[in-house]
Amino acid sequence: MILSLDKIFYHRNGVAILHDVSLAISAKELVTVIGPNGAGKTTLLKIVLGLITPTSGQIIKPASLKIGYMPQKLHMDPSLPITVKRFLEFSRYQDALQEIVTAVGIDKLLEKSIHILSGGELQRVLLARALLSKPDLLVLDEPLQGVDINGQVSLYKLIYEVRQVLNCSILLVSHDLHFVHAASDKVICLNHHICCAGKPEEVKKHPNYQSLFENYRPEVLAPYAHSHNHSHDIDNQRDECNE
Amino acid sequence: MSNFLINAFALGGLFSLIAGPLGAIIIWRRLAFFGDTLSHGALLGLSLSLIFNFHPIVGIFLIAVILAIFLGYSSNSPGLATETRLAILSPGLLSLGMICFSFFKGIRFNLEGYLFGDILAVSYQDLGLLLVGEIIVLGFLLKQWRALINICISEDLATVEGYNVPRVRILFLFVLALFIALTVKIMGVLLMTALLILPAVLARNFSKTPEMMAILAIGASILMIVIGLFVSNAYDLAAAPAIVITGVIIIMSIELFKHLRDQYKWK
Repeated sequence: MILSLDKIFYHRNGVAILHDVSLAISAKELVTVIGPNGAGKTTLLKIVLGLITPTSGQIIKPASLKIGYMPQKLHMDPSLPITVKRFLEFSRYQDALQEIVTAVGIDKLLEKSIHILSGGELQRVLLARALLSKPDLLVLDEPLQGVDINGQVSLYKLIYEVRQVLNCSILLVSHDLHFVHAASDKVICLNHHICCAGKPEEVKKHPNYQSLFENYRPEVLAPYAHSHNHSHDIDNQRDECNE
Repeated sequence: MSNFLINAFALGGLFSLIAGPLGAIIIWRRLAFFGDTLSHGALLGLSLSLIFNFHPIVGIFLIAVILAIFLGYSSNSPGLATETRLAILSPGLLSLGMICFSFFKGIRFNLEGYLFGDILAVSYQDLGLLLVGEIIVLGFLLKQWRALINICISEDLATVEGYNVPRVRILFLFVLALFIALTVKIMGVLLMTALLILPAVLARNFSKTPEMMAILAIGASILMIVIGLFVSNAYDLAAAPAIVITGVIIIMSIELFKHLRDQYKWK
């Protein structure tokens, strides 16, 4: 166990964003959190990262735990001139720079301005920056945001390779309810509380999905079939789980 | 060249050395309106210091620091955008400053000088204070440069990498407040933000890295001030408006050139 959350509650302006969320991440585990927009996924990540303090509950992690964070996007003002190379050089960790640049495949982007990158290129650059510290835990917030389907598959493949090389745990957040990283050890479905959690089913068992994605390297995308034992009505009022 | 003018150039150089990098960070952090509010608040600080008899710089700095703390910690109120709140506060402070002046008519004081600056009225004491302030501000910028740029890139990323973001953010506002307090007499309350921002905007056109932009902004500021001072000297105009107009004309010419180049695909 490298990090665990114990009974996390988070309220903002009197609204419950997270309700009794507990989860544990083991060494080398890939944990995917899925949920609709506004389900509290980013809040959960920010609590894991220590960016916000939960209203109640505990975060248990060793002080030495190194976390790499890949944000959804940068809210950088376009008046800040910065090349990809300079952007990476502003990280505290420089030892593995060249190695990671090559591994992530961004050699050709180094001299480009970060403001003109495509969605997929920017995600790779952000991933590279998150990897520079050689983290024990890699936290990825919607890594597929703004990336086309081919790019998504290669980005997921890259994340998989990264884990093989770095031996780190990964906490990944996605708003896609139907497809998760095939290598996920655990999938957590979040909608303010944890609706359900489990292993993604093997892609091979689903011929429909297989045929749909046969051109897109099915080994990296897997449908995550799951049923809720309760429903959420339209304004996201939470019904009680009947577990 | 008159002694006055030489002093003015020396002051302009000192001003530029800090205004360049500070102005760049202000636009990267989208703090232009904030800078306006701070400098408008300076007028209130000035009138209070005249009423209660402190050194003007002390009064201006105190008001600016109070504003920096107040605005720095209340950045996320629901309902109103920061910009809107600043647009209320900024004219509010300016008006309050003016009203304070008119209540104390006994004070012998050149209001216009403080509104538009008076680069020629600076004493040796002011110069000494400015030098000390420069060293503090420059020291801070050099020491915290990486932290500052990382915060401009992403506050969350900077926090995860171990920077104390709230501390650096508030220190930057203090440093900005200090710089405004020290230079408001030279450059005036109304045009202060323009003098900080215009060189950085000009430098953006020619920069590929943040460091390059900060350094080019120093050069751009010196260029604006030198041309502006010559113009103001030749036509007997107030210095700060002449400098601002110089900057605006240069920037608009460049924008026009870029527009025409894109329009007609000039090489």
